[in-house]
Amino acid sequence: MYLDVSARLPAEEIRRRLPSMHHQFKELADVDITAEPMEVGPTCHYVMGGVEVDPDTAASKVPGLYAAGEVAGGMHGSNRLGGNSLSDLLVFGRRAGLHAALYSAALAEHPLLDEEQISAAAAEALTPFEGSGAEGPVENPYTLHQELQQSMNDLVGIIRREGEMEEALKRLAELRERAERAVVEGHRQFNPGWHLALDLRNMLLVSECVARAALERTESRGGHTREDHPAMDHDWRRVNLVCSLAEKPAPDAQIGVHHQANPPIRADLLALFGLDELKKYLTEAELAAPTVPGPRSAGAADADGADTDSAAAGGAAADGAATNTQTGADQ
Amino acid sequence: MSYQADFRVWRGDSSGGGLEDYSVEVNEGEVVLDIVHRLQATQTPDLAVRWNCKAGKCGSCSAEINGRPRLMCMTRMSTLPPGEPVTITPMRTFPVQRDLVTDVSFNYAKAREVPAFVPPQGLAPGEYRMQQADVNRSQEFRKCKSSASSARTPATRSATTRRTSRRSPGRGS
Repeated sequence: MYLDVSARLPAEEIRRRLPSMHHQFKELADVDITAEPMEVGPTCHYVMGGVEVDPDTAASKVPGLYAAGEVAGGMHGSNRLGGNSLSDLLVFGRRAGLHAALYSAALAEHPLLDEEQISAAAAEALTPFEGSGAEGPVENPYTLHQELQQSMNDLVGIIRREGEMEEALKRLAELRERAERAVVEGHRQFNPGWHLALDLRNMLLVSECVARAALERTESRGGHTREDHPAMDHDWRRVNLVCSLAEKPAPDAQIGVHHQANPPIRADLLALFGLDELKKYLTEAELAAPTVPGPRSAGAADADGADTDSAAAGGAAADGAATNTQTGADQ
Repeated sequence: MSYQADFRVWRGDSSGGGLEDYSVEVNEGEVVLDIVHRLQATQTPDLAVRWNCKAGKCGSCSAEINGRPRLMCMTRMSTLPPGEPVTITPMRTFPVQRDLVTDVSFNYAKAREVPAFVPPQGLAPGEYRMQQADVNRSQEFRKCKSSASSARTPATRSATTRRTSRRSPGRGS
């Protein structure tokens, strides 16, 4: 696929508005984007789901743990508009820092760490050096990482299908079993192979969250596109899919998914939209509610109701990864 | 089109080290950082190298390639002399920590000396807007940082690299 800006903008304008892109294509691909098309392809770019946080304090469900930015869920809905992650960081990064500090300062006494838990965590972290002792050949963490990337790209990528996501879950289970046999060599100072072996466990869990939630969500919305469910389903709008560690983890399922309802949209926010716009997203029942603006008041912003309800949506909607076009020069 | 390239990579830590020889596969269009990653994945899993954006923005993958300070992510293999070994060593400007990773805390100390941007008091929203001229001025610093001169201008480099860059050259963030 090719993207051509040269036919749309004068060369000087392209250099001024897209200096990095212009420079990269010239340096890395010998392509002058002011004169010729650039080869582009889709890639994983941003994770829309994330840690479930309270929108006002950025507090997670773990006491004392706060999350903001790409790691936190719920901010951008099912697709992030370009440029919005910086404003996300400015607003919610401040809230997270502020409330983490307030929480810490308000503690009557600081919780004591359990020495046994620390020792267990340290031992677990060092396992890849000696190997876990699990039966089977030792595994290279880099190979596992590449296979994980390939599986998620092929099976839970841009266009999703039920059968492929089920296949992905099987492969994830196999990779998890192999990852237990990951072995690394060398020292403990800045050892990327060791770090990757430790990260694999989390990557596998996040991948399972993405795959399970994407399989569960039988509609298409934002960056989540189901070939077998190509339309947006209004009933799904109010549903966040929350993933957590399964109470009884099975070899093929470490993650449980449950449906969590989003709170209703505040009246003052509803009033910002015209009825025609709301009809695209709300169910018939929601549209019948008295807080929904009628056709005449459509678009009339009224901030009087601002104090009615401070609860906004902040669930961990693990709908999957956003996709964005990237350039052919990015291998 | 693939071929095997000879690489000489400095391995060691603050107490000393030396060059080690490797033979690594190279494919068309690849940059030096791609080869270092292949080396890690196939031969030297503990090879320490710092990298982030892979787009010539963050400066993390600075190293000396055949003795000259470069960004590994922006150095195409096709620009290096064919048939000769490629030597990669850590930046001499900074103290070595491990392999190609150096201690760049000097940059962060300098960055903290750069005063934070504070808009004038008492302005209403929309009264203080960034002009194209402001964008152009910061672009000059980026060029400087991305080039091989980064080692000689650590303050500039750190001031512009505190923001995490992503690989998308477009409207990433």
